[in-house]
Amino acid sequence: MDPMLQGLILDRLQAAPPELSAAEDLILGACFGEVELEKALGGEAPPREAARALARRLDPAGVWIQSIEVAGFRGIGPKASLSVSPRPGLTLVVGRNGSGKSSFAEAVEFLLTGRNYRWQDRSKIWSQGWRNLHQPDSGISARFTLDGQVAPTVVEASWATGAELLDADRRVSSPKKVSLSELGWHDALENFRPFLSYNELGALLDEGPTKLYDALVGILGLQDLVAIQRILAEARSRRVDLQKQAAGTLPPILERLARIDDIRARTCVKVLSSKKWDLDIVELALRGATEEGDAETELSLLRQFSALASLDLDRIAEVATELRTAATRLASTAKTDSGRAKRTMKLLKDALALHKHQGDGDCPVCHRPEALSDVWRKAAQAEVEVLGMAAAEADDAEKLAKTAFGDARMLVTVAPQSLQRAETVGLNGGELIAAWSAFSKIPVEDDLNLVAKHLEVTGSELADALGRFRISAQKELDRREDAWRPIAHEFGGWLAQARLATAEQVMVPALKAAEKWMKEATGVLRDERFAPIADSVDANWKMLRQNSSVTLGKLRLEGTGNLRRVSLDIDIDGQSSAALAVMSQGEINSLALSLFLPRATLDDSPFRFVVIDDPVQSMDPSKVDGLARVLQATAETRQVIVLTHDDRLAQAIWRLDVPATILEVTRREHSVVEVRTVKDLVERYLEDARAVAADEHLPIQARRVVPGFCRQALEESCAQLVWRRRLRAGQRHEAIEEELSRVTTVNQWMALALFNDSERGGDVMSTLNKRQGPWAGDLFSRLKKGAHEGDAGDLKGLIKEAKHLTGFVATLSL
Amino acid sequence: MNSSLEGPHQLLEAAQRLLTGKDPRSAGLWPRAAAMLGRQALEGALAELWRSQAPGLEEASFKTQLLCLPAFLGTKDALAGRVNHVWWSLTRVCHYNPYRMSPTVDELNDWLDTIEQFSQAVETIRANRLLRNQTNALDLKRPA
Repeated sequence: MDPMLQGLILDRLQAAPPELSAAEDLILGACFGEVELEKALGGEAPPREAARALARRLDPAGVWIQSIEVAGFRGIGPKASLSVSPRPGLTLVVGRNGSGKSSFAEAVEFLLTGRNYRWQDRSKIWSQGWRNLHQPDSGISARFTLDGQVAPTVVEASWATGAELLDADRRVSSPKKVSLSELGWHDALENFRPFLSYNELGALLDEGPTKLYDALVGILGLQDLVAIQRILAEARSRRVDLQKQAAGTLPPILERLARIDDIRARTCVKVLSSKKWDLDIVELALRGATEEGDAETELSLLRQFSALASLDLDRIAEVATELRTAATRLASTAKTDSGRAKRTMKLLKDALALHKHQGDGDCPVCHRPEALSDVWRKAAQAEVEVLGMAAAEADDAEKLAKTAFGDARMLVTVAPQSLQRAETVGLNGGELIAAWSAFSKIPVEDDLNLVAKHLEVTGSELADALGRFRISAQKELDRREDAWRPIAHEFGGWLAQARLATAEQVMVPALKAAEKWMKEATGVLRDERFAPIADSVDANWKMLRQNSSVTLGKLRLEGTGNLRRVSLDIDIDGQSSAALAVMSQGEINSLALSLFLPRATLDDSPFRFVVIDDPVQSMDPSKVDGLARVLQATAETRQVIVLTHDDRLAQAIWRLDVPATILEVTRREHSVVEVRTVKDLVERYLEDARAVAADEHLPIQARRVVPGFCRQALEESCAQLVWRRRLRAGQRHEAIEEELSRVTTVNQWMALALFNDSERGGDVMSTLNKRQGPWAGDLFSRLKKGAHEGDAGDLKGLIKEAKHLTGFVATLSL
Repeated sequence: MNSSLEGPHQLLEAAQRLLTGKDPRSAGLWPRAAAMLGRQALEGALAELWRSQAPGLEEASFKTQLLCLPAFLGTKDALAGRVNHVWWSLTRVCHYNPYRMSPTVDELNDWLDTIEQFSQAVETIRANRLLRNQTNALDLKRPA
């Protein structure tokens, strides 16, 4: 982008509020183009220092045209050259249409730009008609003076035989070490366009305020800023599009999800129906299809159901056997009063211990004498033994029964609570719950045989119910998976897309902020940069409008995007009006020049010259005077080269005493184009006369033409005098022109000069003789006659006297 | 005074030489020089016509002479009208005019061409007149 603009952007960014920091990197990135912007969006800091360095303002040397040489190009056959002073000033190149004058302008434009605005849309005509028919060898060159350089810079172009126009070999031929691109003029040529073709400018105004805006924004170099805005906007819309695409592909997926009776689907539909997507939840739901252990969902319930532990029927059989064994044992020891036996045994043991200690004696309990004897002792000892065995057996059976019942109880579980929710996942849990509840109702331990039977019967029923329930749970699970799996796959793709979109959305606000900032900065820079142009336009229009009733309001660039326009407020006789529709073509052309001259002569442009092709077209005489003034003002600091196909501008320049060099271009047969400097018009005719008189090869021409040329010089001197006289009297250009168009003879001209009355031709001779002597009258007659019939006398003397007479006319009172 | 110096044909040739010449000394001035020669050739041809057909008319103003022209040239090729137009065009070039633009080669060629045709037409008329005069003279000499 334009380094100066970049500098301005950086300066403005430094002064920007801190909340812009995220956007700042994006703006800087965008300054370097799309790739750098994407890097900045990815979090990579843009090359700030490089931007600074680039922003250092380039200051190319001022460029002036020194000469243009053209051969075999357009209207010019043999080599012709146009030389101008490489300094500020006005040069008028005058020549009829087809004289070849425009070929010089086209040549210099082509040399610098490789094209020409005027014919770029007419490529066919041009590609075939650019070579001059009379000179097959084509070559053009232009010599430029660069400020601060002694040697001129010469740019030239040549073509191989049969080459197309655009195949031109364009190069800098001197100084040799510089290439065309190294001159650094390319962007400036685009932006400042030192070549103004009037047709093109007028057309631009006709094309409306938007085109005009573009053309003017181009001048300001603001297209770079617009490009940055565009890059930012595109980056943003790419992101918004991602989101839109994700949202766009969602409805059919949601529709399919809605048809699936699955908690995952319902979750996803719920989450995705809200404005902000919680993709984490979506992802969890999606992963539910492949992973275990997520929150309590229908799926986990089904999975839990399908994995319910089986009943251990082997163990039940074992415990039943255990119970039955214990029952049998209990039955066999049922007659034994184990407690009584133990107590009796204790009593006998105590009695035996007493007997051992005291020896034989009476029974201490019943006092039967001599009850305790050796015989008793032996019988008591035997009874103790029997009693002990019976008590132990009863104890064992009791223990066994307890253990067996405990084991039975251990087997009995209650139904899990979750079974109550079986219906919520479409399963019938009633049977299982009933079986489980029956199983869990274990009878009292009195009859272990009954307990064993209960375990066996209800256990087997429960096992069957469990098996059936598990199968139905697995079936339900499979059914749901079958419906979910394909959509989960598709949905996974969508999720990745949505994830990307959501991630990219993060940068959207920053991009928006960057865009907003750029838009505002562009507006400010636009106004700042446009202000001096608008002022020049205003000043130019004031000079150009002359007698026009059209007042131009302040020119403004407004709006952006499709609403961008140039506002041209125009006032006609105090009535505000819709601009161009009411202006004459001449006024439009004047306005166009007012607009585009400032652009070409901005200080930022290296080009110190401006080439204007045919600005006079359809201008009325008073506007031509205004044009002369505008050109004069511009020529104070710029080299202004104006090509024009008629003499009106030259005349205005003469009338207004505008310092200018006038070059006349003429084209003979075979495209022989000649350029010569024209001084004062009177002097020009006299010089023509001298040139013919001095040429020995043209004896006939000399005799025949010299009197006519001298007569023209005389008429010209009269016309100049009368013009000055009329203008001084405050007459309008149109009126003067109208009056002078009716003056046809030298007699009338002389009468007008002498008496301010063209009707007094009869008094001319005597007045001339009286005021200047007889030579003047004689000369006057000789010129009148000789212009028709030729003059065989002394031509050099004739010219000398004619000069004298024109001098006399110039001294006549105004 | 010098109408006897060169005839219309010589003047036209001289004009043509200016158009095709490449002498840089005549740069810029040749279009008006050629126009002047062309106009003089035209005026010379007119004078020759009048001397042959209507002696004394050559003293009248050119405007008058041109007005009389159709009566002598007839309507063939609209030549009289074209001659009239060419004379006025040339006059504008030879006198002061507000936008003193030199004529182009094409314009000059066109004009000189018309003058050439006019000059030839005058030649033909003069030859016919001469023939008639001679015939008349013979008739007068012939005995009745």
